[in-house]
Amino acid sequence: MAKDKNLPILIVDDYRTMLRIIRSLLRQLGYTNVDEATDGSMALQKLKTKPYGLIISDWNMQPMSGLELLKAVRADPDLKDIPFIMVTAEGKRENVLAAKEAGVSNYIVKPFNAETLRQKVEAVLG
Amino acid sequence: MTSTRIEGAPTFETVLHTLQQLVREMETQVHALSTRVRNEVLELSTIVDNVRREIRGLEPDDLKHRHIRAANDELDAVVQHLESATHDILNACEGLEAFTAHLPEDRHDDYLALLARIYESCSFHDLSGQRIRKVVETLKEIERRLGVLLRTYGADVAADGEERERDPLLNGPALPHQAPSQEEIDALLE
Repeated sequence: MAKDKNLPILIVDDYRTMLRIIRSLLRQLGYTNVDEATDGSMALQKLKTKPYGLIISDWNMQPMSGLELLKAVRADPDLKDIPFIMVTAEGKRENVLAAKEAGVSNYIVKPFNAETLRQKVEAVLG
Repeated sequence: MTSTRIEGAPTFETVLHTLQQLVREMETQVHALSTRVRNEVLELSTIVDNVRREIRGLEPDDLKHRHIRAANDELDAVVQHLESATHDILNACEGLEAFTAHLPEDRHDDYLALLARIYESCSFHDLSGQRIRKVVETLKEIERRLGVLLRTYGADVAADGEERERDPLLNGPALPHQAPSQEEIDALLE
């Protein structure tokens, strides 16, 4: 079980409803220090202003996708160690492999349930 | 100077006759060929005419400017309605979550699990929104191809599209920016 429930978490999705859903589910898991971004570029800006302990991101976003965000995070020496969970409807094998190659920590396919989210969060946070 | 005739060589008359026969033969063949080419051109022309007629029947201009645009607007409205409904559900869930503290401690987990189920289910908005986005992309592609068709066959095709008669009372739900409020409807009934 993850210890620090006050860990700053950044959730990224272009659907406001998904941001609310993930935030609510995280709140039920005890994580309340949650910020939001609606695409990869906004997320990168936020990542440079605050030390986040976890990124949970959608894939399919404009102008910067979740995969591009993941690559940018892994290429940045200050951000590269932040656990990154992809939460996406893109469930094809090649998507998962591309995310894996880019250094994703975990991958959740939509629709998902609270238990899956809990398991993945706890798995990447140790 | 006297002309000498090689023994066994054809006479001038024979050569002339042969040449005349050759010319006649060539004329016959050229005529047959030109007739065939002409027929094929006529056939092609008929095919092009038929294609144009069929395209006119499709009313590409009407499809592009009215039906596809309307379908796009309707799908946009569906996405907006879904989003609005999902926010309403989430607002209600958050209100119910705040109520947890008023429940007996031993009921909290069950109660929160049920709320989590509702939260999870609300992702339908994201998923259906993405599917609708795909349909919109398909419509845009059809619209683009119809545009090519219109440019290829010119304005006459567009002008030939006849306006079909529609029942003015059968329009389905109005788009959000066009929909009258309940107060306006009530006022109309007074």
